Amino acid sequence: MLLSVKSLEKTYTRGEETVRALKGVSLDIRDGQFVAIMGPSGSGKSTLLHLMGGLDRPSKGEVILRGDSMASMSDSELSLFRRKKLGFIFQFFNLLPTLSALENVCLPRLLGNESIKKIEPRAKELLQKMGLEHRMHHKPDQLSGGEMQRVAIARALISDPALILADEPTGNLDTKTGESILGLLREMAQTTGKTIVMVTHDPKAASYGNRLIRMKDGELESDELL
Amino acid sequence: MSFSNLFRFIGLRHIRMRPARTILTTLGVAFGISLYVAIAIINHSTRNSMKESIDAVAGKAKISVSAGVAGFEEAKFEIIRAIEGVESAVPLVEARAFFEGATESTDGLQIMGVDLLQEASVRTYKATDQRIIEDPLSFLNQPDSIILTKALAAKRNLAIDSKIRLSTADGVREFTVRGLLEPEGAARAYGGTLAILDIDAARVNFGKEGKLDRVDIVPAQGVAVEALEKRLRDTLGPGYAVERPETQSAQIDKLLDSYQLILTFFSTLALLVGLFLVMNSISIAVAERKREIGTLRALGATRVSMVVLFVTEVFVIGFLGSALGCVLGKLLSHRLSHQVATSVAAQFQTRVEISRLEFTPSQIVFTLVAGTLAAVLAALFPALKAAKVHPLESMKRHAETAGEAEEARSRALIVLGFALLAFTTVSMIQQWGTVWVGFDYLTKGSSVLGAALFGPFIVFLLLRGFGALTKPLPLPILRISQENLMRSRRRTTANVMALMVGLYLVMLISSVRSSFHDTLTEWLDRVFVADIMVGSNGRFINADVQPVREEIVQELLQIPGIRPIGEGHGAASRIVPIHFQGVKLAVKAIDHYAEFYEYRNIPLVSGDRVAVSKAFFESKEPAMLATGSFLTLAKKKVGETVALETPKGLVSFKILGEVTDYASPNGVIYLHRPVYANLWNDHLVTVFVLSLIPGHSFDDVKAAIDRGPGKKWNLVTISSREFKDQMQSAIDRSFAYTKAIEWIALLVGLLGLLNTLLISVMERTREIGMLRAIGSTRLQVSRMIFNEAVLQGFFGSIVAIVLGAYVGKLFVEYALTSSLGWVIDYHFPKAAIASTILTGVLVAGIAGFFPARKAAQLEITEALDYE
Repeated sequence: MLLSVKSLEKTYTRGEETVRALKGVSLDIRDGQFVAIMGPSGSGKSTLLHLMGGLDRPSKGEVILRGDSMASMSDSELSLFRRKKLGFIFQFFNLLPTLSALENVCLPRLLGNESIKKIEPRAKELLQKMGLEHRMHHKPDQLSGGEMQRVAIARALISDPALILADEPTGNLDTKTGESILGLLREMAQTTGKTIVMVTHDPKAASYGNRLIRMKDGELESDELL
Repeated sequence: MSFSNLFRFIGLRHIRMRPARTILTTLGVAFGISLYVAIAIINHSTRNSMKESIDAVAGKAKISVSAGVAGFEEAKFEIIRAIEGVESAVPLVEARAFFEGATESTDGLQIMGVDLLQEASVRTYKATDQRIIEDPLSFLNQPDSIILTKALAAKRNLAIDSKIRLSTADGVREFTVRGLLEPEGAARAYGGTLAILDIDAARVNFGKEGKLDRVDIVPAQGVAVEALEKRLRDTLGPGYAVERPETQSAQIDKLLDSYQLILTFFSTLALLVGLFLVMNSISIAVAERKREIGTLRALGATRVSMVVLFVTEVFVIGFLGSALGCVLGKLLSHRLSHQVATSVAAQFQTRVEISRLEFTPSQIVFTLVAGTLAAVLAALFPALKAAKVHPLESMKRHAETAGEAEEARSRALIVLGFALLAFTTVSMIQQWGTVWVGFDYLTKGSSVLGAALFGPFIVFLLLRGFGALTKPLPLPILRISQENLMRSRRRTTANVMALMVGLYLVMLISSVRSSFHDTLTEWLDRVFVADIMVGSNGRFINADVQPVREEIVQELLQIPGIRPIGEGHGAASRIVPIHFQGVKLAVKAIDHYAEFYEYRNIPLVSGDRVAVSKAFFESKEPAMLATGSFLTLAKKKVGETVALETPKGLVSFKILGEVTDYASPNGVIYLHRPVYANLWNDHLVTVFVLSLIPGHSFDDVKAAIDRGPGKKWNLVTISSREFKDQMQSAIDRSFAYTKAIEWIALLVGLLGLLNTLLISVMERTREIGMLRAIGSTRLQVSRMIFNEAVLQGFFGSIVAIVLGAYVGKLFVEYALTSSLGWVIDYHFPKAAIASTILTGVLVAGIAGFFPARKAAQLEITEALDYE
């Protein structure tokens, strides 16, 4: 089992109101799955993704990735864990404006003390696969939305992570570009065997996955293989 | 975690790709450091120059004997030489001389009257033509001989055999340059403004017949210096200063410590303002880069690495700023050194010639390290904030607006600001800085940080009031600007802080300056009673003039138009420094002026002025009037007696009253001149104080003096108005260096505001796009941003005036009085109000111009899409 989510609960306090974003969610994800999580706003799908990615800590329950429980990790250990074991694709791309496309791809491994020379061949290969060989040295503000998201996908792959988490990866793209990005993600899952968990509220985007989890009011509503 | 990659790919990129901000912040540090460096260089060089002079004049001598400006009987020399343990002793006559027509201290030179036949055993000289030193007979045979330093000769275009005209006690005398000295040995003293005369020639020309000013002694081999010192003291008795060069150096240190307090206070504040800019700039950078930090954290960067990232960025900026500050500081020190030297000389009756401005490699290294570390320290707080940025920030499209937590934090900062100002108040009143130097730095830091944190709160109150006031007026753009400022607390606070700290420092300096200026001017108006002052060449206002013979007064009184002074009255003053308990004081030996002056020249603090003054002048036993600082030093009260060392032994003086006088911060003693002349055997006069017969014009009388005794004795005549004007311009010049500090503070404020305004326009790009989309014109947008800048400048100035004047009052009333010894009354700098507000608005206007233009140029579609 790649990822186990056990009785995950998350409670927020907003003013005087207490919000239960997750109410004891449990699920397992196997290697190579492309899981789409869908649900309306406030259903807890993004909170679940954040907890799976170690970006936030649960109020109760735990997330275990390849046998390692994130619950017991310190902040620094969790940072190291994210860097080595996880890849992120954000809705707003989150490329650093001061770095070129190539350097943005290298970033997670640069954070791990590797020299750029060592990382570059792999980064170039990934950018080539994304069809961006001619845009490698461009800064984010010189790239289109689709190109930026492809750079972000390459960045998510650079550390060869076990799990890739994508938060509305097409939410900021037009339909055509969005479809090409989703096609890339599916291809990536199929050819590299990477596990992808994608949060979306677009049914068409969800149809690219091979497993669909629906959420409502902080609970799993359905879980089906496609 | 690789910090080098993080710095190389993130930190360095930000430094390079945001050149405007990098340059602004670096310049902020550089300006702050430059002033600190300049003042440090000047302080260090002043001390060194003065000590170097002491060592150069002392030569091989381990002990020197002197008895103040008036000197002592020549007969004592043989007694000193005969004392057991004295290997060699050489006599010295010292005098101050001025080139004919001189009106400035810089036109003066130090005369050393020496016995060239004996000099070699103590001092060395290297002349361009060494025969003059090795075979001095030809020099001695010609009484008009004078030796100058090469530096002085070059400055005045003089060569061997050149004639120079110097004012002496007997008028102008012509001397012939017979030798030029290389800058070695004694010739290094007094910054090279030195002339050697034969000892007898010096005596005759400077009214020191039968006298010596000093004897320098080299102890015999194996003789303990302390033991010889004691023997000398025992033999000579009171009235003689038996000192070692190092004791004199220690006195110089003590003297300069108090003066340098003000310089250091201002320069430290300027540095703090610079560091504040760093803190502000990094705080803004952290807020602006929140999503980037969140992304890095999501991708696996640790909290520590985020702190290190920002600290390293500041390290580079701090280092570059410090390096640039070193260069600027060195340049600035050249501009300020003369002003500071003049100021020190005026305040302490001590000639200061800064021979060279030294900035040693160790000082450079220290500045680079300390400047960089200080910048890093300033950035630590915002950098720690960066560490707290949650990885979830990466998931948000825009940074959240100030939440409750931020509001609470902002309230806490206001309270902290108030607490820091309260600490500043208590620390200054209680003078904790004198107990532990750490408190001194804490107090300075608290005064700046307290004003910076608390000031914006008052600005918000004023803005609210302004909003209510302008509500009914048809000024929509102004209203939007005011509301924008109220709404964006964090941004407004940052802008106001940046500008306010600069203006606050300007106001603080103005407070100190106006307090000095007004206190001295008021005092001068009260006590300066004469119409005419007559003296020789030199600088009247600090009594640095060539003293003249007292008999001249008889000739002056013959001039038509000069009021007779009456039986038993005089018109002369002698102002000289004396040592008391190792501290240099000023003695004002004054005649019992004519009755028509009604003793208005005696600035008695309390009691019946006429009665006390009469008692003072008519006292049968030695009596004095003294300033509060002297009474504190001597631990005496009015009515008690105090013993002064005179050439005639220890003499007890009865203290008849306390006076206010600013001639020396360490203390001023008024003596009746006949008493002084008798005890110190000094009948010379520094200045004659005369009055006009009503109906006669000053110009006519001056012309008559110039034609008669003036020509004969080389006298300079000035009116009381001229004297007061000179005094006021001297006070202004004493504080001229503070103008440089103000400029730097303003520059730092300008840079800070420019920085924060540019960022605030960037942050508001979408908002501006939205305004344009719904119909605002480019001009309206630009006016809105410009208005905001000006409003912040205006209200920031008002708060800076209030807080600067308040801390200035504390500094003047407590720190300054306790350290300087002068009681300076606080005077609110009224003249500075309009200029501070104008400057604040102008600086804000300049800083707001570029962001306003940038905002107006934004394209709507791009602005709306801005992230």
